[in-house]
Amino acid sequence: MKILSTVIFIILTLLSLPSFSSDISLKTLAKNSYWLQLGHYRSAVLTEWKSEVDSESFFLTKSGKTDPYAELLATVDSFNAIGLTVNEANKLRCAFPARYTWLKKKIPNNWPELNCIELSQWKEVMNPAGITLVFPTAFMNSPSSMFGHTLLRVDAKDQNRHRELVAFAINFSAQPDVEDNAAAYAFKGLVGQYPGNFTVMPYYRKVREYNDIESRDIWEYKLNFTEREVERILLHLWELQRATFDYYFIDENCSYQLLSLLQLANEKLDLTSSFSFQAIPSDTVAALKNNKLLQEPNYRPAFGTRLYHYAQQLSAQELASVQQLIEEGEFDNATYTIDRQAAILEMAYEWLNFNFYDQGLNRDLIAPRLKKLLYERSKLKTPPPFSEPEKPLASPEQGHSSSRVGITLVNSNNYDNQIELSYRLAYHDLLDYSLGYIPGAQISFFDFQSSFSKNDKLRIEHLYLIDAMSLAPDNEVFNSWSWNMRLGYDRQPDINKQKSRYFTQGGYGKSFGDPNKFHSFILGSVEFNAGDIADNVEVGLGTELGAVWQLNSNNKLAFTGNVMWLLNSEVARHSRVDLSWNWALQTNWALRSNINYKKWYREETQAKLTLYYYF
Amino acid sequence: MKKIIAVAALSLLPFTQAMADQDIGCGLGSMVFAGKEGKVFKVLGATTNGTSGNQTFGITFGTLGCDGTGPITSTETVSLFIDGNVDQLARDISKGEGETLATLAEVWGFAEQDKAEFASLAQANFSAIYTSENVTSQTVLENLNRLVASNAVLSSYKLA
Repeated sequence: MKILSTVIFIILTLLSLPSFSSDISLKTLAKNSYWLQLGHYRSAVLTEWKSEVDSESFFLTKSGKTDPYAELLATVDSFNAIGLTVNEANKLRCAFPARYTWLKKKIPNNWPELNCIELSQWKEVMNPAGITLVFPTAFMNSPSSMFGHTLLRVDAKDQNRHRELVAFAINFSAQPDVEDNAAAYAFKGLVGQYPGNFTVMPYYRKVREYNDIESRDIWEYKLNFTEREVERILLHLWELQRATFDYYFIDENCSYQLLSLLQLANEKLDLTSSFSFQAIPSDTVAALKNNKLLQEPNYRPAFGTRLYHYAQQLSAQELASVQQLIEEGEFDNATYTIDRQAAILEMAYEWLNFNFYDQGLNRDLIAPRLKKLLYERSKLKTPPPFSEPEKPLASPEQGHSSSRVGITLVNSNNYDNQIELSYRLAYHDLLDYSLGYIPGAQISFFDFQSSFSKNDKLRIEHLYLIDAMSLAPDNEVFNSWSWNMRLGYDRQPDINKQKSRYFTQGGYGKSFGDPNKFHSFILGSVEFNAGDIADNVEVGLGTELGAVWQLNSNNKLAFTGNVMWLLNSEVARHSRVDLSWNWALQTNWALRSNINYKKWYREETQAKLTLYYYF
Repeated sequence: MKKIIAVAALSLLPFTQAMADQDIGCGLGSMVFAGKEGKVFKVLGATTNGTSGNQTFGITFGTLGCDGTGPITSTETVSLFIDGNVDQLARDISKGEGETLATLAEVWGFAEQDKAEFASLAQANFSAIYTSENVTSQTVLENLNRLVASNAVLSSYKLA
């Protein structure tokens, strides 16, 4: 039996080896989706295919970036050692181990088993058993981090809760030019001028970076991959050592690139083709969820989350002692038990340390005080008195999807009744279903609304490029400012018709209450208006205020308004008042009612009923 | 200075920070002990690669040893871990427990039954380990190792 199979093998080898490179079946194989994924090929405009990898050394032939077939031929030739010494061929096999192991199964060959010292050592240290998707979300006081970031963690075979920190993280990031100024940075990032690449480092570095320095909660989703699948992913990661990518902020970002790596787990997986336009981290999570790859997540609370949770466990008197300890370096400890003294010392250390990070306090002044607090604490032989924050009820993937469409019936007192259609690219507004999102924070990108009136006139009602609000109220530990920012186009009531306005507006102020229950805000506001409603660029100063009431998990009421005094216009001021009710029918369906009053050159009142779908 | 202003201006933009994640180099964990000043360090560290050491990250960092050849030794792992977590370790030692201290005991190689002894030894000698706010992570490691070596129960765990 063994002889027979050996004979067959030799015949196959003789038949195939010299001529196989031009074999028709290689042409078919070049169109295999796994091969295309290995080369990061996507269908393109000028050529049939184009790889997203931009470094030449990732390809074995010059035309490899645009020609998967030529790249396959060159790869097979290299692995066959055609025109190469044994050492050279082996070097290439070790440089492309994912291609090698896959092709070894797909085409007849007499290739040896992979024998690569560095690769083996690398895998030995990682000792991979599984992969976890790591999603640092935004923290309340920094909604700019709302889009989040995603990375992977390679979980070792001998991993327990206390080895997580020394597991390895896989990160995709841009490598910007440190000499560039802000404008160049933003522009170059958007158009992909900065190269991106994959890096690996101990996971604790990322935990320190996100949990501690940036104070962001981290969600960790274990992925349903077998050891064999994890191995395939890592073999390809090894190949990506030599790969750089254009790094587009919106589409070819970390989220997209991690998916393009993960889909190599097996031949059937396709995680990237549904992203033609944008991929944001929560979509990555959603894509993995849809492919049933996510397990129940773990939660790592941010520095700020922990600090707030500790403060909740202290009495007002104890908090006063904490403040005294921070300011004067000592407190009246005679009145407290050992356990409570430990609580006060720990809280003082955490709070001062947080402010040191957050406010950039002088290290020479603060570091000796922090060290003294730790030293005093170390003298108390008592277990830590604080409990740690519990995992929130909802993790981010349970929230509504990030894009939204809507259809609205509008009843207007001055103008024709009409139907409006709306689309929002991303992400979340104050009235949307809160589950899985940060309360009191809003970021809308590309929020577009058009209308049809009775006489079939189609026009743009508004286009907000950005509409962001951060409404973090003060509490025991955080003294927060609120702000908002809006930029775009809309229509305002003139004497005979609604007239166009281009504007940008910013506000700054304070919030009060609890964003999970009842919550209000007042902002000082400045705006610049142009377009038909304004004669030239008109400047407005005024205020914006409102209150949002979370009635229950599915219903929210909001009352918002603004009044702006115009400095250089025929009208003295314009104003707007909105009363809205959002009823989340399901996670991705909502019904929103709104009554609004607008005044510019004339007054107008509208009633609206909108059905939203999130996708 | 120019960069700080630039970054301050950028932080008004909601998604720059989000999509432009970068790695922070060596010395990240050290903000307080032998660290640099808060916000300047934070801002520069979070937006550039150039502030905190000349460590270039590839996909083999921390796996093939500090010089990038051959598997990493356990002493190197311990030393890298302390370097990356020197502040958090100080906090955990002062309390006598915590994830960072538990992880250190794990990568150091303490058996389950000796971990509690290690933790209480460290807590009782906090000021001998963190001798000043300018202590380096290397000195922290040496101080810990000296304590371990001179402890009757733990001396066999002394790192070479």
